[in-house]
Amino acid sequence: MNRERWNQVDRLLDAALELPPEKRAAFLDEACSGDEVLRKELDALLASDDGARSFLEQPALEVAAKALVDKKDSLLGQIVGHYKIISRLGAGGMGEVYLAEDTRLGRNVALKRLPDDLITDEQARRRFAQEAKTTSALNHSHIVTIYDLASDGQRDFIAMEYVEGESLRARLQHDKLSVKQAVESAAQVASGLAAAHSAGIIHRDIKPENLMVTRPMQIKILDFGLAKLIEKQRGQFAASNVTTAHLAKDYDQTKSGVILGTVSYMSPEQAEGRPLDHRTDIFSLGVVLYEMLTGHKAFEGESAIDILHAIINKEPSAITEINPQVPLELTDILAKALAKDPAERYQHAGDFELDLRRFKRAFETNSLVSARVQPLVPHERARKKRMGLLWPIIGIAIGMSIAVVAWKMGRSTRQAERALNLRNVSLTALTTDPGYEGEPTFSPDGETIAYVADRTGTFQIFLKQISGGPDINISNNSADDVQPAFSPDGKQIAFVSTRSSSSNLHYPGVDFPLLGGDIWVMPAFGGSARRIAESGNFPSWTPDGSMIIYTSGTSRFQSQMRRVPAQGGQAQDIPITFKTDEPLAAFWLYPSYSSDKHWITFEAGNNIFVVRAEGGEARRLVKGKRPVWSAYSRMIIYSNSEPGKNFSLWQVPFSTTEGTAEGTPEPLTVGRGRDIQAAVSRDGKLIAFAAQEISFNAETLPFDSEIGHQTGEPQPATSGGKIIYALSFSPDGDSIVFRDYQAASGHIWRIDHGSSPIQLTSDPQFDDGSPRWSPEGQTIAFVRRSVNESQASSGAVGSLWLMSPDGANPRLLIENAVNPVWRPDGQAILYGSVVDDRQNQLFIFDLVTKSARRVTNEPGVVPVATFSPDSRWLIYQSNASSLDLRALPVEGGESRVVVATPHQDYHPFVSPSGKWLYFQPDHKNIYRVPGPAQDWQRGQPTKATNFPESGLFLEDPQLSHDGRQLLYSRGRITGDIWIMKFER
Amino acid sequence: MEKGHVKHSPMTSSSSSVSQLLIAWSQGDEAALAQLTPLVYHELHRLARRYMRSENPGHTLQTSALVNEAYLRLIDQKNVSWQNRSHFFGIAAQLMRRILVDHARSHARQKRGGHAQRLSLDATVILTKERVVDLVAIDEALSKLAEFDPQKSRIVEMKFFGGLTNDEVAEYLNVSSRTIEREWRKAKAWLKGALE
Repeated sequence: MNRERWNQVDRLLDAALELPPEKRAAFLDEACSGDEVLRKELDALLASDDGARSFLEQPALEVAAKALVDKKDSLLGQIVGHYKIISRLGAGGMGEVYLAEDTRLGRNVALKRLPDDLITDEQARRRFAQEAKTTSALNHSHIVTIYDLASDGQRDFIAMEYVEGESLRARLQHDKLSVKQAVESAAQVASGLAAAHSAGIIHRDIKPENLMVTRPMQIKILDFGLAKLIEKQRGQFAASNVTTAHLAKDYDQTKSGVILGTVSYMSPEQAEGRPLDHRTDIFSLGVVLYEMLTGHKAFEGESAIDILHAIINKEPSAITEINPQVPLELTDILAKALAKDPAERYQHAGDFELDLRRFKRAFETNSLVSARVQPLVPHERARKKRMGLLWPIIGIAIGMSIAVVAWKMGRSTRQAERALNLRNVSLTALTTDPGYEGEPTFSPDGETIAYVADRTGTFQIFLKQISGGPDINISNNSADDVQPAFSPDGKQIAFVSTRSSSSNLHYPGVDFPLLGGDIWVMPAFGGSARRIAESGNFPSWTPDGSMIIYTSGTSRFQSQMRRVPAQGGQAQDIPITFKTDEPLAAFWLYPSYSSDKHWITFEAGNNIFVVRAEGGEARRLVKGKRPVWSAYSRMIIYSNSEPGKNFSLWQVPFSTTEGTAEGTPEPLTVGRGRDIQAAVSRDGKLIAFAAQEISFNAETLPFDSEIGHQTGEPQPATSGGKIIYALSFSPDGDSIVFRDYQAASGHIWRIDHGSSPIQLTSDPQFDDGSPRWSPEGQTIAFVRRSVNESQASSGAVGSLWLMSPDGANPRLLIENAVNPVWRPDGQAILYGSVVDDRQNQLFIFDLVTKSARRVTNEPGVVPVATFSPDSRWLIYQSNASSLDLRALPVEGGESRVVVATPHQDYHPFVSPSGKWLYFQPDHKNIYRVPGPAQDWQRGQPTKATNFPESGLFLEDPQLSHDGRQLLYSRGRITGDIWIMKFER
Repeated sequence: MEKGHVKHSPMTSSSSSVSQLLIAWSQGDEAALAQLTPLVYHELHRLARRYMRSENPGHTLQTSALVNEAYLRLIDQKNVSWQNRSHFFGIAAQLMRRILVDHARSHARQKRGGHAQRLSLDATVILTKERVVDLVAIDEALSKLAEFDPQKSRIVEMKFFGGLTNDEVAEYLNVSSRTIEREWRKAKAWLKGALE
C-alpha cells in the first residue's frame, strides 16, 4: 500500500472509530463515495479492531517467556521419581496433569503437579504423604485411585490411576444427558462416595470438573482428599469469610465463570464456613445431578456472594419446569439430597445410590407411578419399532444385593451333590462396575475370587473376597492379562498374558473369547510372574497341581491341546481326534481337568466334548459353551442358549466310568445377562459366573481416506445393548442400514442421521442380513435365509433379495447367494455362491442382461469382497493359505495376493481415488497398502486408525462414498460377576 | 524521584553492562549483540521459571509485574541520561524485538525439526489455552507496516517489544498520550488483519 492511500485510510479509520459502531456504516457510505476498495479496506480494519482488544497487550517478553514455559512445562520425557512423563493431559483445578509411565510397574499413570504453595515444609509434606496414603487405600471402580506421592526435587506430584475420558464438565458442554444417563452417573458417584465415606474420607469438592467420564459411560471421582489438604495447607474455609479466602487464594485471576462454577457446588454448611462432614458431598452431588438433568446450575447468581446466598437460603427452580422429562419420583430424590439441613438429607451416600438405582429400574421398565411416558399404541408399534423401547438393556439389576432366581425344580437327585437344596439359592453380584468383569476362578478355600476386569484400560486380574472388600489388582502391568486359574493349593494363579509377547489378544469372532498371548504363572497374592509356555490360552490345572493344560494354535486354528509342567518345561501335545461325522471345529476352547484325573472337557464349535486325559477320540456331549466340572466331576456345568433366549448356565450329569452324559441337561440360571464362564468352589456350594452383555454399535469416524488418518472423533450412530453389524452407508452418507443380531433371526434396520432406527424387515420366518445400499440410493440388496434352515446349520444357503430403502417391495433376485456388493455403476451385483465342490466362488450378476457370470475359480475364496472404484478389480478375502487379501482383474487374468500379514486380514475396501486398499487385521485397527491406482506397489501396511487395542473389536469397517467417513460396528463386552450360593 | 540526578548512583553490574552494550550496539557494534543476547535470554528464562512456579499461568496481574521487573532490569532508566532516554528506549525496543524474534525463530525450527510427538488430546481434561502470538509473524507484519506508516510500526515496537506504557512512548515520541492510544489501536487493527 502506498503512503498516500494509507493516509486516506488512516484518517477515515480515525473518524470511524470516533463514532459509535452503529453510525459507522452510514459515515463510510458517504466518505468512500463509491470507492469500493477503500470501503472494503476500512470495513476489514474495523472488523479487526473489534476483535483486537486484548491483541498484543501482553509484552513480547512475556509472550516469549510463556512460550518457553509451555515448552519446558510439558516436561515431556522427564523422569519424576520412577515415573516417565509421556505427554501433557491438561490442566485441572489443582494443577497440571501429565500422562506418565510407572517404570517399575510398567503401567500408565496420571501425574498431577501440585501447586507450589501447597507443600511448604517437611511437616506439611509428611502430612500430605500420610493423607495420600489414606486416600490411596480407596480402591473403588468409581474413584480415581491415588497411587503415591512423587517429587522431582523441586515439585511434588501425585501419581494416580490414569483414566481415559473427559470431565463431566466437558461432557455437559457438548452433550445433553438423558434422564437415565444422569441417574446412572449420579448413582456411580454416590457409590464411590459411599466407599470413601466409610473409609472416613470426605471429598469436599464434588463438581463436574472433578468427575471423569469414560466410555462406555462410567464416572470416576477425581482428587479425593485433595480439597481437604489444600484447605489445611492454606487455612481455607477455616475463616468465616470463606468466599474471600476461596476467591483470593485459588481463583482470583481466572474468569468469573470459573469462580461461579466452583462456588456453585458448595453445600450450605460449606458456604457458611461451618464444620463439614460426609453429608456435604451428598449435597454437592445433588447439585451436580440437578445440572445433569436440566443443563442449569441449581444455584445461580451474578456474583459468588449471590450464589452462596442462594445456596444457604433459596430453593432451586422446580426441575420439572426446566425439563418436563424428569419424573416426580426423581425430583423427590433430588430434593432430599439438596436439603439445606444435613440432618434432613440422605445420611449415607449408599442410601442416595440405592434410591437412584431403584428409580432407574422403575424408569427403565416403565413402572413409575407417575409414568409420564405414554406407551406406544400397538398399531404404531407394528409399523415403526423404536429401538429404545424394544431393546431394553438386558443386564439390569446392577448393584442389587441379592436376587433369587426362578428355579426349575430338578428331578429326583441321585448323586451326592444333587442334594443341593435348589429352593434355597441366593444370587449376589460380586462386582458392579459398568465395564468388563469376568472369568472368575475360586481360591480353594472358596473365599476369594480372581477375575478379569478392564477398569484400568487393559485387561487385568483382580482378587476379591466373596464377603466383600476391595478389588486388588494383582496384574499391575500394562499388558493384557486374562483367563486366570487358581492352582489347587491356592498359592498360584495361571493366566494368559501379552507381556513379552509380540501378539495382542484378539477376538476371533463376535462370540469368541480372547485368543493370543502366552501362559504365565504368578503367586496368587502378587509377585513376579513367569512364563511357562509360549502361545496358549485357557490354562487349567491338573488336580494335583503338577501340570497345566491349555489350548494353542494360530490365529486361524486354535486346535492343539497341550500339557506343560506347572514348574515350566517341555510342553507335550495331547492328541485328540474327532468322529468323522462331527462338524469340524477350528477352535478348541476352555479345557478343564476332572477331579478324578480321567477326563478333559472342552468346547469346540459350540459343542461340549470330553476326551480321556491322555488323549484319544473326543466325544460330543451337548451343545454349549465354556464347560467346567462340578465339585465331584459328576456334572458338567456350561453355558447354552435356546433360540431367542439369552445364554444361561446349564448342567448335565456325567458318568466318569462311561464317559458319557447320564441324563438330560437342566438350566441353573434364567440368563439375567449372558450367563457364562462358570466356576465352581471346591465344596460345590458356590458357583461364580459372569453375566455379560455383548453390544455392537455403529460408529462413524471422520476420516481422510487419502492421508489415511482420522480427522475427528468417533460418533456413535446407534446405542444400546444389541449386536448390530453388516452396515452400509446410503450414497449421501446420511443414513445407515444394518442388521441386528438375535439368537435365531436378524432383521434389517435403517437409521437416518439423528433419528431413531426404523425396522425395514420383520418377517419372523426369515433371517435377513448383509444389507447393501445401491450406489444410486433407490434399492437395498440383502440376503434372506429361512429361519428353520438357519437353525439347522450355521452355513445355511441364503438368497439375494432387493427392496426399497423404506422396506417396501421385497423381491427375490438370485438363489444361493451371499454378501452382495454393488458394482460402482449400480448395474451389477457381486456375490458369493457355493458351487458343486462346496467351495465359495464369486459371481457377478448383471442387472441389465439378468445373467450371472462366475469370476473366481480357485480354492479358498471367502466371499467378503469389494470392487475397486473403477470396477476393474475385485478384492476379496482368501483362506487358501492364511487369511489373505487377493485382487483379481474383473475382465480376466490371474488373481494375486495383495495383503498377507501374520493376522487374519478382513474387510477390504478401497479409497475413492483407488490409491489405497484398506483392510483390518484381526478385527482391530485398520491398515492400508497401495491400491490399484498405485499399481499395487508392495509395501508394509501402515496403520490408519489409532484405537487402543485392548479388547478392541471392530466389525464391517467401510468408507462413505466420498471417502470422508469411516463406518464400523464396535463390539463391547461388559459384565458383572455373580455368586450363586446353594444352602444345604 | 528525580530521574536526572541518579546518574552516579551505584549500579548493578548487569544493568550497567546492558546500558553500555545497548549504546555500543546502537553505534553499530554488532558484537555487542552477541553479549546482549544471553542477558535477555537470562531474563527470559528467569521469567519463565517464575511463571512455571506460579500456580496459574493465566495470572495476568502478577505476571505483568514480573514482566515489568524484567524489563526494568534489562533497560534500566536510572542509568541513562535524561536527554538520551528517548533514543535509548527506542534502541532497547529494537533490540528486544531482534532478540526475541530470533529466539522465536530458532524455537520454531527446533519444533519442526525435533519430531515433536503429536498426541491426540481427544479424551482428556479440558485444556485452556491462550491463543499463541507468533512473534515471527508479528515481526514480518511490522516490517511491512513500517513501509507506509513508520510511526505506527515504531509505537508497536516500543509498546509490544519494548514493554513501554502509552505515557512513556508518548514522552519519547513527543506526541500526546491520546495520539499513542489512537495510533496503537489502529496499528493493532491493521496487524491483526495482516496476521489473519
